[in-house]
Amino acid sequence: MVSLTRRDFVKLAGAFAGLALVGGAAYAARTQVQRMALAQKKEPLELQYVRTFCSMCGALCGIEVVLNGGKPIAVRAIDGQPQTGACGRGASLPWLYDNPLRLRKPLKRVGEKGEGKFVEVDWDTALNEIAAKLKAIVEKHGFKSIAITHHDIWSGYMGLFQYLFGTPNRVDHSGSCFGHGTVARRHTFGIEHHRFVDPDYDNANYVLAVGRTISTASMGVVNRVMRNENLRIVVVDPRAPEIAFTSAEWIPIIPGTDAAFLLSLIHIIISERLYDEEFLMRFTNAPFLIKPDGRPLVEADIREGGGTTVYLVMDAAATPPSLADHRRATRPLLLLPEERREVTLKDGSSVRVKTAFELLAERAAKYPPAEASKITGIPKDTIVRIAREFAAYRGVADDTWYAAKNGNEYDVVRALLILNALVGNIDRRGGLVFREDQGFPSFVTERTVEGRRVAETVYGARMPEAMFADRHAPRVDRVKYPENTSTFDVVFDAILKGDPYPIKALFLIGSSPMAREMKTSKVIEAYKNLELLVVIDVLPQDDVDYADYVLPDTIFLERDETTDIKWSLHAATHVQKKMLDPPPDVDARDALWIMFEIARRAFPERAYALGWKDEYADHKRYREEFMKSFEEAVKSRLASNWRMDVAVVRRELDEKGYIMFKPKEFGVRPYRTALPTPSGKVEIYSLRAVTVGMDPLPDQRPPLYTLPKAPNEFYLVNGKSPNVSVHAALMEPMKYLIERSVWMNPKDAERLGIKDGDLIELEGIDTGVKRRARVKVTERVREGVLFTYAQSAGRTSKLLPPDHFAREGINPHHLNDARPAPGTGGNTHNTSVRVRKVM
Amino acid sequence: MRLAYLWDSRKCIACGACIINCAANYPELRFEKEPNPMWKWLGANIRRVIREKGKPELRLLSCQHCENAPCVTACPTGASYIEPETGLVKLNKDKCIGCKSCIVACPYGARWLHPKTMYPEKCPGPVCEQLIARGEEPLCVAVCPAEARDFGDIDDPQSSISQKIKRHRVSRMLEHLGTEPKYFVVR
Amino acid sequence: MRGLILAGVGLLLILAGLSIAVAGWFTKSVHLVPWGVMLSAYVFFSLMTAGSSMINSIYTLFGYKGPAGELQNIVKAGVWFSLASALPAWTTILLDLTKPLNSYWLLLGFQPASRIAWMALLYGIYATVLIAELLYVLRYEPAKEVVKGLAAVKLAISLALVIVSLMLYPNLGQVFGVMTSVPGWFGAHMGLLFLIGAFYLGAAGQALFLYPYIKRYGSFFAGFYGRIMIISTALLTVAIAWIFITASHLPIAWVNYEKVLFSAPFWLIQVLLGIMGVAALALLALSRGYLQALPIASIFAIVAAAYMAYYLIVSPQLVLPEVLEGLTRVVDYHIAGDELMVVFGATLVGLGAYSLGMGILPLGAEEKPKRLFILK
Repeated sequence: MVSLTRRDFVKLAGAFAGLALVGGAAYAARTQVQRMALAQKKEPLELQYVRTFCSMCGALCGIEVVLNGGKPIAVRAIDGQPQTGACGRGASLPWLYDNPLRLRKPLKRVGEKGEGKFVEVDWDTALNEIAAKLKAIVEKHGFKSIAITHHDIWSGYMGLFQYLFGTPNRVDHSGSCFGHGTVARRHTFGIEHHRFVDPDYDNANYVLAVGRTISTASMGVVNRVMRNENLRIVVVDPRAPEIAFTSAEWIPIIPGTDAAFLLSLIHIIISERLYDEEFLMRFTNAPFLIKPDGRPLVEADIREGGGTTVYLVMDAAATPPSLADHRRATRPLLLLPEERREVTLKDGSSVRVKTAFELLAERAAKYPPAEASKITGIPKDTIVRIAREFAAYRGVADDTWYAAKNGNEYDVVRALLILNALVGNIDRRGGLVFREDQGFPSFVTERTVEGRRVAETVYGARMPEAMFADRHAPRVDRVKYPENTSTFDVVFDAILKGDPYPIKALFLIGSSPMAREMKTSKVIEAYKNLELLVVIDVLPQDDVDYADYVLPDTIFLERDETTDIKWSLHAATHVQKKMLDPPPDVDARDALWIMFEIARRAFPERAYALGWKDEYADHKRYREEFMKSFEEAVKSRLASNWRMDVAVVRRELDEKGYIMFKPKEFGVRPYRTALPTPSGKVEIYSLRAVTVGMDPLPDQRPPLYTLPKAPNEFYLVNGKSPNVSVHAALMEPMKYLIERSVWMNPKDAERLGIKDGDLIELEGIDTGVKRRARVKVTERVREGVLFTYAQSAGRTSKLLPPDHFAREGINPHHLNDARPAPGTGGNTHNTSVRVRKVM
Repeated sequence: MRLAYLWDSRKCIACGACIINCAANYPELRFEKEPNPMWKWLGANIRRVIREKGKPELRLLSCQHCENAPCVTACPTGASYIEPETGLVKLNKDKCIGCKSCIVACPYGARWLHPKTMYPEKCPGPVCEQLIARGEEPLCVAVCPAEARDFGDIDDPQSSISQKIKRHRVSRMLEHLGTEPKYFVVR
Repeated sequence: MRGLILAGVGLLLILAGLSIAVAGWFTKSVHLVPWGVMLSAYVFFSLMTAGSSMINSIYTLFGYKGPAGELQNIVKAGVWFSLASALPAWTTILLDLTKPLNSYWLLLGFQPASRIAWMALLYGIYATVLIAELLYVLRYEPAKEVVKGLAAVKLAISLALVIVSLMLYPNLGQVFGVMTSVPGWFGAHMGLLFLIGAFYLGAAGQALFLYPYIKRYGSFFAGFYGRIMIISTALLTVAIAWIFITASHLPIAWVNYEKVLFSAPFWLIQVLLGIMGVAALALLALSRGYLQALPIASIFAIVAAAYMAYYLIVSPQLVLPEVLEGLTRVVDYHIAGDELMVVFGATLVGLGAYSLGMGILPLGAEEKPKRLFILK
């Protein structure tokens, strides 16, 4: 054994230590260099800017995508674009393009519905199997057993699909969104779409937003609002929407009591004589004489052979004031002198009439400020102040967008529209105005060609009438709720009970009923009862777990589209530009191609009749030929509608991304042109409502759900933010930008011994369904009310990783009972819950 | 030339577009589980401050480009410095040793530690730095739909930011600390 | 033989310590608080090394040898202990950096306004002067009289060391004290507390680790270290009280300090062990000459000082002011594994260095350098 001296040992140990030190230092240096390299990486930018419109939510704002080295990295606003974006949703589009969650290949379900077990199949297999199944369903139940639903993606093309599959049952989401407002608008103006009636934000002085946040959806609207330095905004909402961070005034209100608030404003404006008498007399049906049965007095009532739609007023131009045709009267009275109230009918009997205005005043008088304050929780003085400010500024009350909250919104929107009319602020600068006609071609219209009825597409294909007769069968939801534009809940009834007739197949195109419809258990049950459920989407929404086939759509960066600018008062068009191909491992195909290919394989004649060819099975060919000619036809027709050279139109769209055809012209309706209402005027007293048996005047009606009473019971309201959409909610930045907690007011939290961050269990009072979520204690929600963001939390799809952030929190629709509103159908997003602290 | 930022609290609707755009500066953090552990946030240079009591109030917080920057004073190597041509506070990563005193020194909490490189990060990020050098707007300003942001030379009276400062009521954050920030908040 | 074992153990501890510490650096992650326990450890060891130097200077500068030359006899061990306890300080602070190998920028890009730049400079001078002092004492101590011609050298070195040490404390304190961003740090209080704390911790460290060298002079050192401990403990109590009183006037600072004040560890560790325990044991040693009481007091003091370093450095960063008045930034800090590895590793390096020195250096009074100029 070698003897080791002390010195040797020390030398050896020293050498060893030295080596270790040197080695360690070298390795440390290497790591340091690596970190430095990553930090120093200053690759020069290779920037490209491409203009398009965004599809991260339904607003479709114009944006400029910033690409670096061919990859989307960021988004820019476009100065001068009639509807410029962008919000957090648009800015998150770089995460959509190459997101690991993106649907990559057609999927075929192999397990039970809800298990989320799929196998990847090739396109032909998927499409052929779907076609075969569809064919079998149609043979047994007819074309009308096919239902299609969508959101704003591809919505211009949905009309085509109705002809393609010969079904009337294309049912959108308006019943759980803007439907109630649509009916109210139709009943007041005859113009119904929420985009066709909007405040003139560019010139308004004072905006009252009730049941409308303004800050949630179209950034083009936000842009106009914020550029107007003179604009005062008052937002009335049970929770503080994002606009409450601005200089806007936020007034908290008890959910479902908006109508009482608005009627109180109307009452104050009427009783303090702050209304625009001239406008009411000349351009509304306020002076119309109404009989005790609620029907308007017409010429036919007082004279044999008189017109049944010649509405009568009391004209003070004559002495004494006498009955006159409203179209000829020059000074129709709003308030009748008592001695003129008796009218003799043609049969000799007499009736006491009131003017519509008087009836409105009576109705509003039910809600003096003290009473309204009790109902709404808003201080009396605030109500009076808002009424006076609204009149003094000649304010405008937004006619709402996403309105399906408590089931009584029809009345709320009616009251909002009447409020605008009271101050005479209709179609004037700064008022509630009607959008210019877009002159945008319909993609398919029915016309008579050479004596025969055809459905003609914009690109010239013609489908003979025999093929689309089925398309005119009554739509399932219109059978039940003819007044609303759609009530999707009825589709579930048709699936589950065959009422009014069975629906057996459902296509979901870029839309998630589990995120947007109420009573999720019913949605799931309906899915399980379908014979065929096909989801066409880009991300795994919760619905995919129940689908038979899941098909990957392209995203908006990967295709071209032309559409009218949705949220602008002007007539303008913008385009979506293809700037990318799908990532190499994503075999996505256009939803349009998918539907046509299914049709071709199931009912080839129908597809051919709409201009499809066998060669289009090649997606590339379809793009190069079919879509190209489609887009060119659209631009051609658009140019000819506007009497412009198509080359000019194309160049503007190419270079600027948009084209402005006609700026909004004010003072048109009902001043120069009649409104499409029975009276041709603004209907304070809705004659259409009378016809369909609804209350012609608004009133405060209770919400459809059981109201909270006990100290641990709350309203549960939900809403959105500029980061919330069904698709954007899954983007990585939203992990931090969307709160998946339930908001609770500090006073309620203290009473229940709940602290910020605590876990609570919510139980739907009407459904008994229980869910858990963390609490955020904040004064941004009113006492007695809980708030949570919809569409973005409590996600369940098995295709989401188990630890995905969107699984946190709750989907409030599970707790909701889906009670339809009387008259309009349509559901309520709000509900009531019982709360219990868990930890 | 002194480049400065402006943020209009009367107009900002907290849409988050600026914050998410800012994350374009850190593509390597896009799909990280914890892109910014220090802020529990995205890998971005802008964070949100919200008052939950009383009238809802918001501040969007990013580097204030102080004229009297505590981070520059604290930096031992001179890595954190004020760029003489523009007045922007920058970081020379060659000299940075990662002592984190700049992160500690910033009273605004405008800096964060990058989880992969372990360097301090702040506005402007690498992409916006290049954009600014080319005379273009930083990504946060370019995207804002509410026109609540501006950026430019406050030494140029004709610049839009100078005109806004003149026209509106502006304030700055934590002025009592004497940092002389160049991030103007319109109130 | 004993020396061989000590040297071998020392080397192993150094290796192990460096490996663990460097491994901690490799697995470095973002901590919620920029300056966490590594900074606390850095402050702790800084106080110990500089405090030890200050105590040595009672002999080296001021010439007080003790009645039987006791201080002169242990000065070699004392100086080595100063150097050995500096190593963990430098290890933790270097490994807190992202780029420790680029530390030359501290001098190359020296920023006079930065307290940390001055720390680097002062530590550079400190290390140089301390090594010079070590070389001197290993060669020439203990000696009845100063070697001809070296009196000036000895004076210069020891004076320089005292001056640099005295500059280290306030500068270190002001590394934190200039930060307006952390109200719990901002102010002049840390410098003075560090000065007192250095004596407190230096005495504790020496009384514990120099025990093999001091035990033969039992009652002297019982009195010597005992006195230093009692005085520094009393002054430390005042300094700590001053910090809490100051904090009570700053709302955000108080949020943090209040939590500390009303926590059990503060009363058990800082007060019971660190103040009362140390004082009582030191008093016992002082009055009865029980040297054995001192190592126990040292352990109490070391534990208390480590705890103090945590609540002085880390705690004030846990709640910070936000830009909107009335709001705060609350940090959910937990000590991370990589930090513990660095601190633990650095501690082993210090222990190992000291052991190595005991093994190969002539630290004892009778030992003389025989090999390689300074080895025994």
